[in-house]
Amino acid sequence: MAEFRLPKNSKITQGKVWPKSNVSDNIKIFHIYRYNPESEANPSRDTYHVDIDTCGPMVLDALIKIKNEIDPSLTFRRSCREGICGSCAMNIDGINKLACTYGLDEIKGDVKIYPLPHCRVIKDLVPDLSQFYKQHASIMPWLETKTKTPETEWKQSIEDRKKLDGLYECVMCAACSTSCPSYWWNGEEYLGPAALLHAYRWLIDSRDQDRDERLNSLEDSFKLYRCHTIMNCTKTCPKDLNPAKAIAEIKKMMVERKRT
Amino acid sequence: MNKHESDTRPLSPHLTIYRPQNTSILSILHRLTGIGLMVPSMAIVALVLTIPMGPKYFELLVYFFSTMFGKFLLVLSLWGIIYHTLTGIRHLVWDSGRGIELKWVNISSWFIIIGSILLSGLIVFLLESS
Amino acid sequence: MRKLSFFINALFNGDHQKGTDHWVGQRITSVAIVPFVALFLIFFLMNYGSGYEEVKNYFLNPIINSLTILFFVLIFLHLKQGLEVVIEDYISKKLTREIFLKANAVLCNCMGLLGVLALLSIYFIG
Repeated sequence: MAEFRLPKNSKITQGKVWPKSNVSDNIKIFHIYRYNPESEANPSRDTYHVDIDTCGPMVLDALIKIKNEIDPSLTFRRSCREGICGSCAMNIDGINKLACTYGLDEIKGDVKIYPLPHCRVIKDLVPDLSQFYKQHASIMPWLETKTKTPETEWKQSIEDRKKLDGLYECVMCAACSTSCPSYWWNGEEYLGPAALLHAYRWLIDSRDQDRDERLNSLEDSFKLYRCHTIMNCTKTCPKDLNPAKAIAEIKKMMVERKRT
Repeated sequence: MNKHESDTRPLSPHLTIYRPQNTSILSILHRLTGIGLMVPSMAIVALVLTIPMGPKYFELLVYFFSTMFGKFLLVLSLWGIIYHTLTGIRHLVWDSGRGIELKWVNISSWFIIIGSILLSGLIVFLLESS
Repeated sequence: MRKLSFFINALFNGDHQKGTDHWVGQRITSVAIVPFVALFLIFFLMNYGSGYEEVKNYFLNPIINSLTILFFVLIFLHLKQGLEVVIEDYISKKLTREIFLKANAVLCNCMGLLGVLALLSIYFIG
């Protein structure tokens, strides 16, 4: 059976309530998933009080403030703080978002933060994404050509270039794939929305010359066809892209190819 | 079974913490109604089977569907058929690459929820009043 | 011709289809079922509460009888295809999965066959 429940070692226990550092009227409460690989204990949920008046506007600002002022051991990935590196994807208030582009004002009540769903946790909010990257590599995210490399560059018309809009912007944050129930249950074999969006990005690149081989590699019950158009991916994408549509277009290509 | 099982690191929570989305709720209902429609499908086969078996069996089946539980099953099946058909048609439209933008997904979700309840309600009303 | 063989392949080739063939097969049955659902609901609404003799007379009508046969074939094929996807989704152990897939195919085919035989016997035997 697919595992619908968390394994014993993953059950979340009640964690520490960190004391309020200063008295302010404008406090927001954060419940954050904690896991320390160096202790034997199960993951827990810690509670922090953050003074919003002295905090930046985004969820990432609050996380950094907690790390700086309350609990330096809190661990999370972040880099660009403007939604272009894709490092700080996490489950915020029940939906996968980038902490740096998700505003605190969008969240009513307490803020609950977990790592991306159904991943092995390395520490606190840091999930192991090695499987996710492997799957990305498996779709050959590069230009495959057979003809001789031109003297200058591989040319592409403006119209053909436009076909890549809405695809090339993906920052590989893994928010979509880890929002997909189908990926939760079959993430070993199903490539997931992010890898498939990238697959489509190379399938429709006018300069690519290996479309048939790309489609062949997706002809399988699991890699592509575990997508049941649940649409959680498109709903959650922090960059407002549409992986579900890209996958639908791949399926159309698969059928078209068989019919002719 | 799973390669993961030898992994001692914890698995991050999923079903229990992901906020229910209109997308995933309609999707799982499509699946559940699909599985559930096994029951009325078999009931129709049973009904057809009772014809060569004789009126006694036919009356028995009709009696079952006149009990409270039978009627409950009937109403649920009606809604299930209509819901599964509506979401099914939407799936076909999506597969053609249309209506798969978030805006249309949200609109059609409401249309399907309200439409399936109204339509099955209307049929039950017509059955009751006839 | 090529198109036809593509459809036939997608629908009937073997016990259990993989990948694109399975996906297409499921779409074919679902498209075909849509008008039947509308017909069925209208028929059900108009004849709810009919007695034994009346119902028997409906199925003695060759058009209703043959349409119902087609309906049975389609819904049980569609049921089989749908449950196959569900089984593949949730049962990861290879052997258990195969057993469930086989049992599902047998169950769905038998239900469909039972319905078709009943309809034929009403028409030909009475």
